[in-house]
Amino acid sequence: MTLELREVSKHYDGAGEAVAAVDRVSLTVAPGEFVALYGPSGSGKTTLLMLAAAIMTPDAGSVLFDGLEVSSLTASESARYRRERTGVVFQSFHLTGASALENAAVKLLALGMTLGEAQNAARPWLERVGLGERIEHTPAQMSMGERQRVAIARALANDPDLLLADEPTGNLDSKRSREILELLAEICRERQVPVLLVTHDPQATSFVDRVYTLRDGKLTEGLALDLHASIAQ
Amino acid sequence: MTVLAFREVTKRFRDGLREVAVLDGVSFELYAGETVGVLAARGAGKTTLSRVAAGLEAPDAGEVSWRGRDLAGLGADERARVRRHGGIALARGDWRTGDSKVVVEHVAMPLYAEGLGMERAEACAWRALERVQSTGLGYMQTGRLGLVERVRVELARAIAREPALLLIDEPAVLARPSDARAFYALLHSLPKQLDLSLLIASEEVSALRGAGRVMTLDNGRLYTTDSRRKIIDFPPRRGAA
Amino acid sequence: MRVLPNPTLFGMRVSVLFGLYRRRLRDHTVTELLAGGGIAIGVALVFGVLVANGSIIGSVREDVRAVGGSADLELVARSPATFSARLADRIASLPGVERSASLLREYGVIVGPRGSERVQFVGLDPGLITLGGFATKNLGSGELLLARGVGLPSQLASAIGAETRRMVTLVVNGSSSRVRVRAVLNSGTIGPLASVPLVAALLPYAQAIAGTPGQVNQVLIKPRAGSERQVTAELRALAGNTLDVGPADNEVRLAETAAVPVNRSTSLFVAIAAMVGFLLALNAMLLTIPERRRAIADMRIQGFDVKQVLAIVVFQALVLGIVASCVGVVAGDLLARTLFHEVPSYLATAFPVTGNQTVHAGTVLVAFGCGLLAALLVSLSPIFDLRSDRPVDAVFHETGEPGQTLTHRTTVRAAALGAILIVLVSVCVLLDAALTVFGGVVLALAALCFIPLLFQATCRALKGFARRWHGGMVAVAAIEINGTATRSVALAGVAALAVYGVVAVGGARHDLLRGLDNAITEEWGSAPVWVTPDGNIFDADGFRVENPANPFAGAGTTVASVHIHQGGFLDLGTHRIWVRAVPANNSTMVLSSQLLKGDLASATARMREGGWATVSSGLAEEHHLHTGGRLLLPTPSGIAPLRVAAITTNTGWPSGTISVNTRDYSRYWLSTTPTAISLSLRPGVTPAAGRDLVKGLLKSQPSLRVQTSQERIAEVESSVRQGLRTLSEISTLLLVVAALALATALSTAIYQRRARLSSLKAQGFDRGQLWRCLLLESAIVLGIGCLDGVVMGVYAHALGDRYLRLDVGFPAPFSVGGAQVVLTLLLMLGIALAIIALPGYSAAGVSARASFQE
Repeated sequence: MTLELREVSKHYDGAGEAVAAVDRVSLTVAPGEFVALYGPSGSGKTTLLMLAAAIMTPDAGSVLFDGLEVSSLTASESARYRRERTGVVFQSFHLTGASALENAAVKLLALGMTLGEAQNAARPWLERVGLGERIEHTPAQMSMGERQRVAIARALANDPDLLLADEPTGNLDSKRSREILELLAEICRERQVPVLLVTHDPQATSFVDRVYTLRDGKLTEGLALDLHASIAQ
Repeated sequence: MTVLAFREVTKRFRDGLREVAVLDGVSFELYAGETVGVLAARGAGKTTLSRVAAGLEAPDAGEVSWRGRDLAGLGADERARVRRHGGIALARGDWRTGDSKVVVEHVAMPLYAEGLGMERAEACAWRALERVQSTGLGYMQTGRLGLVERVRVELARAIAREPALLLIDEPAVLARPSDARAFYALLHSLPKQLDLSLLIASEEVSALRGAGRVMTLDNGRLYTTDSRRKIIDFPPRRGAA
Repeated sequence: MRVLPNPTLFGMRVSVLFGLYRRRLRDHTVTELLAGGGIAIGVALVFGVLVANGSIIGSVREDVRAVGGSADLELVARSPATFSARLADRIASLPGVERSASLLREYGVIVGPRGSERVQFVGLDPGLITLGGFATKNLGSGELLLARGVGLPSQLASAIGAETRRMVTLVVNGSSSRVRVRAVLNSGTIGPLASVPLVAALLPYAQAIAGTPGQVNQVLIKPRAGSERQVTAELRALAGNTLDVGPADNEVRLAETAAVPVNRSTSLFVAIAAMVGFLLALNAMLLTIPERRRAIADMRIQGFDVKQVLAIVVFQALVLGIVASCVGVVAGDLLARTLFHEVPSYLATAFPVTGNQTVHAGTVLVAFGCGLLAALLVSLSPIFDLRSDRPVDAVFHETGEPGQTLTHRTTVRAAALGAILIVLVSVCVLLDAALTVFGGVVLALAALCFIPLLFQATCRALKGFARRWHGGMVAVAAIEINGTATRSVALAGVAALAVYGVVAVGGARHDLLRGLDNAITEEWGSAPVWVTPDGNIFDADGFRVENPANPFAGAGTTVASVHIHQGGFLDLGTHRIWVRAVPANNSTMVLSSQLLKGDLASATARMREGGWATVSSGLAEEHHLHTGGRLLLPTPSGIAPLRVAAITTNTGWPSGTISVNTRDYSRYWLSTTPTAISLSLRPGVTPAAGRDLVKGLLKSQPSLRVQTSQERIAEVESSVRQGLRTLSEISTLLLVVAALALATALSTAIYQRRARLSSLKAQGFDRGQLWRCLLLESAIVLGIGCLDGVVMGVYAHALGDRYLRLDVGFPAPFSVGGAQVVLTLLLMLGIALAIIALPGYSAAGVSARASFQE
C-alpha cells in the first residue's frame, strides 16, 4: 500500500501562458509514513494531492497506489477508488449543518451502506478523535479545531488505505494546529497507512517523517532555505 | 507626528466554547510617512490587528487613536468615514475581488462614497492602476485575473482614495519569487511616492524588507524592536527541519 | 474639495446610483431577472384577477350610468309585466319631477351573419336625452339615426358580423323579427357602452318588436332639487302593489349581489397569488443574499456609511420593484384579456354583462404596491448586517452558509402559531360563514407555519428509514437538505401555497359543479323532450307558440302529455330572484337533490295543490321563513300570499330561487307565456324520435330549440362549467407558474452548492449518485410543500363548501376529489423535477478540484 508518483507533470493555463504546476515530480510515500509537502501558495502542492486522489490526471508520468495505476482510471473508477481507498481532509472542513455523526457518516453512504451501518462505522472514529461525547452536536456548536476533528473522523470512516490532507490547520490557531497534527501522526502510526500532508504550517515539521518542498513545479527534499526562514519556529 | 496609536488594545474571540484573546494589551505608535512591518505566524492575529486599526471592529479594551481621535469612541459611521480620502485604507489579506466585475469599476467603487461622479471616480481609478503598473488590466473582468494581477488591482483599489495610512494584511501570497519580489518592491515604494504611512503584516520576512521598523506578534502579545538586524534573527531558530 | 454641487440622495449622487444599478444589472443579470420575474409574476396574478373580477359588474355600472345619466329614481315593472306608457306621462306631469323618460327593456337574442349573442333589447324614449346620460346625449339626432331600425354597439356588431343597413334577426319574447341595422355605435359616440351587449331602438319600434304596443317597463326620473322625498312618495302611490320604486342604479346593486360568490372566490385567489408572488421574489432574493451581504460588507470596508449603503440598496430595490411591477401589470392585463375575459354566462342571463375590462387607477396602485413592497422587503434583509454591534465585515468571517439552520425553537413556535391560526379560523368561520374567504387567507399563512415542523419531521423520518434500509441516496439527501434548511423551507412554502390554492378552490369548485349537475340532471330529466328559446339556461325568457291552446295537437300518437314551464326574475330588495314555475302535471315538482328542509312527498303534494312555494335557503334566512310559514311575495298583480312548502338550495342562481306552480304563476304574474315546454312521450317512442317530430311541428319557429333531455342537460352543464372556468384557469395557471418558478429557484440553489458537491465528489461520490441525491432533495422539498398544501387545502375546501351551502345556498356536497388532487400534485412535481433534472445533472458533474484551496 505505497503511494508512488513517477515523473509526474501537470500544466495549467495561467494568464495566457502554460504554467507547470508540477514538473517531473517523483515521490514515494510508504505505509505508516507521514510526509509533509511545503511550498508557497500557488506552488502546485495541492495539485500533487489531487493527482494522488485521482481528481486530476497528469499530463505526463503516472501515479500508482498499491500497484493500481490511479492516473489512468475512468471517472467512475476514480470515484470508486476515492470512496473505497482514500480519506481526504480539507482546509475548510466542508461540513453541513447536520450532526457530527451524520457529517462523519455521509461518505459511507456512497458505499451503499444503510445510514445505521454508516453511523455505527463512523462512531468509533469520532470517539478516536476525542468527540465521543459530542456526536449529536452540529458544527455550529463546535470550535474550529473540533470541526476539523469531525472532518478527520469522516476521512477515516471508510478505514482508508491512503490519507490525504489539504492544509488541515490553515484555519486553526497554533495550539489547535498542533493537536490536529499530533492526531494525524498518531493515526498514521496506528493504521500504518501513507499520509500525505500539504501545509504551510511550520509546526508540522516536528510531527512528520519527511519534508518536501515544491517550488516552481520542482520537488526537493527538505525545507528550502528562504521558506525555512519564514516558517522557522 | 503620530498618525495611529494603539494603547493596551485587547480583542477576544469565541472559538466554540472557549474565548481567545487574539490581541492582548497591544500598544504601539505609527508615525507619518514611515513603513512598519509586523511579523507573525498564521492565526497569530495579523488580520485582527489590521481590522481593529482600520476601525472595522472596535477593541474589547484599550484605545485606538487616529490622528489623536479615539476610533473606539466614534460611531460605526464616523469610523467608516475615517476609511475615506486622506484616511486609512485596508487591503484584504485574501486578495479576493468578490463577484466578477470590470477592474476599473471595481477600483473606482470606494470613491463613490466620497460623492464623486462616475467619470471622475473612474479617472482616479485609472490613475491608481497606473501607479501599480496595471493599466492593461482596466477593462478585464476581475474573475479572470490571476493572483499576481489580483494583488495589484486590490492595491490600486486601496490607494485610489489617496489614504494617509495603508494597511496591508499578508502580501506574501505569490508563488514565484520574482513576482513576490516585484510586488514587495512596489509596496515599499508607495510611502514615498504617495506620501503615506504603511503598515505591513506578514508571515514572510522578505515581505518586510525595507521596513523602518519591524514588530512581532505572538500569542496576542506585540513585541517591538528597533533594529532590522535583530529581526532577521528573530525569533531564534529552534530544532532542525 | 472633491464634492461638486450635484443632486445627491443620502450622500450618494443620483447619477452614481443609476450607474451602479446599471452595472448590477449587467453583472448579475440572472439573479436580477429571477427576482424581478418573481415579483412580476405575483403582480401579474394579482392584477389580472383584480381586473377580471372588477369588470364583471363594471359593465352593468357603465350601462346604468350611460343610459340613465342624471336620473335618481326609477319606477319598474315586475318582470315579465309591463305597464302603460300613459303612466309615464302622468309621472312626467308630477310637479316635483324635473325630467323623466320611459324605457322598455327585454332580454333576447340577436342573430347576425357570423353568430348570435344574448342581448338586452332597449326601447328608448327620446326624452332620455334630456337626462344627459352620455350615451344618449350623443345620440343627439337619435330619432333620425334609429328610425325604423336598431343601433348596435360596435363590439357586438363585429361579434355577430352585423353591418350598417344590413338586416339581422332579433328574437324577443320568443318571436323573431328581421330588423335593419341603422347604426353601429362606437365608443366615440356612446363611450364604454360600446362594449355592452345591447340593442337600441326607438320606443315605438321596440314595442312593436317585443309585441307590447304602448307598454314600457321602466321610467327613469330626475326630481327637482329639494322635492326628492315628495316625488318618491308620489311614485310609491302610483306604483301601488304592482310596481317597484327604487334608486336608478338599483340594477348595479342587484348584479353585485349575484356576483358575490364569484368575487369572493376570486379574492381568495388574489390573496394566494399575492403570497405566491411574494414568496417567489423572496426566494430569488434569498439566493442572492450571501452575495449582497458580501457586497455591503465590502462597501463598508471601503468607507461607505450606513446612510449611503441604504441609499444604494433601497434605490436598487425601488428600481427592481418599479420595473418588475410595470412588467407585472402589463402581463396581468394581458392575462385578464386572454384568459379571464369570459363572463360567467349565468350572470349574462339576468344582467347586461360583458367581458370588457375596465381598469381603475386603484387596481393598478394595489398591484404596483404589492410589487414594490415585495422588492423592498426582500432587498432589505441583508441590512441586518448594518447593526452597530456587528463588525462591518462579519460576513467574511462566517463559516458555512450563513443563516441556513432552523432552530428547534423556531420550528415549534411556527407550528404553534399555525395551530392557533387554524383554531382561530375554525371558530370564526363557524360563527360567521361569510368570514370564510378571510379564513382562507389565514389558513394559507397557517400552511406556511407548519412547513418547518414538517421539514424536520420528514428529514427525521427519512433518516429513520435509511437507518435500516438501503435507501440509495435518501439518507444523503436528507442530511444535505438539513444544511440548507432556510432556503428549502422557503421553497417548500411556495409549493405549499400553490397547491393549497389549487386544492382549496379547485375542490370547492368541483363540489359545486357536482351539486349543480345533480340539480340540472333532475330538472331536465323530468321529461324526454324539451322546447326552449335560444341562449337561456335559467328558463327566464318567455316565448310565443303558434296555436297556444294545443301546439302539439297533431302529435297525439307520439306525445303523451305537454307541460308548460314558466318563470322569470323578480327583484326583491338587493336580490334578483329567479322564479321558477312548474306545471302541476310535471313528474318532478320539487328537486329532491336540492331539498334542504321539508318532506319531499308533502312538499310535492302542496306544490301541486297551489298556494305553496319552495324558497332557497339564503332567502329563507334573510326573510325568516320556515316550512309551513307565510311568504308575502310582491308580484305584478300585487302581493301574493303564499306558504313555504320546503327550503331548497338556490339551484345555481346565487341571488336565490323561488318555485311555485304554473297556475299560481299565471295568476299572480298575469302571464301565460311559457319559458320552456316539456313533452312526455307515449311508451315505445324514443326521445330522439320525439324530438324530430316536435322539430317538424315547430319548423316555423327557428328561434326555438328542440332537444332531448340528454342534449339539454349537456348544454346547461357546459354553460354552468363555462361560468366557473375562470377559476379553474387561474388555478392551473398558478400551479404551472409556481412549478416553473420553483424549478428555477431550485436549479439556482443547486448551482450555488457546487462547492459542497465538489467536496462530496472528492470523498468518492460519483456523478450518478450526486444527481440522484439532488433530484431526491428537490423531490423532498417539493413533496413537503405539496403534502402541507393538500392537507390545508382540503380543510379550506371543506370550509369553502360549507360557505357555499350556508351563506350563498349553493348545492355543494363535500367530497375529496382524490383523482384531481393526485393529478394536481403530479403536474406540479412533474414539471419541477423535469426542469431540475438538467441543471442537476450539470451540477453533479462538478469537478472535485473546487473543494481544495487555490
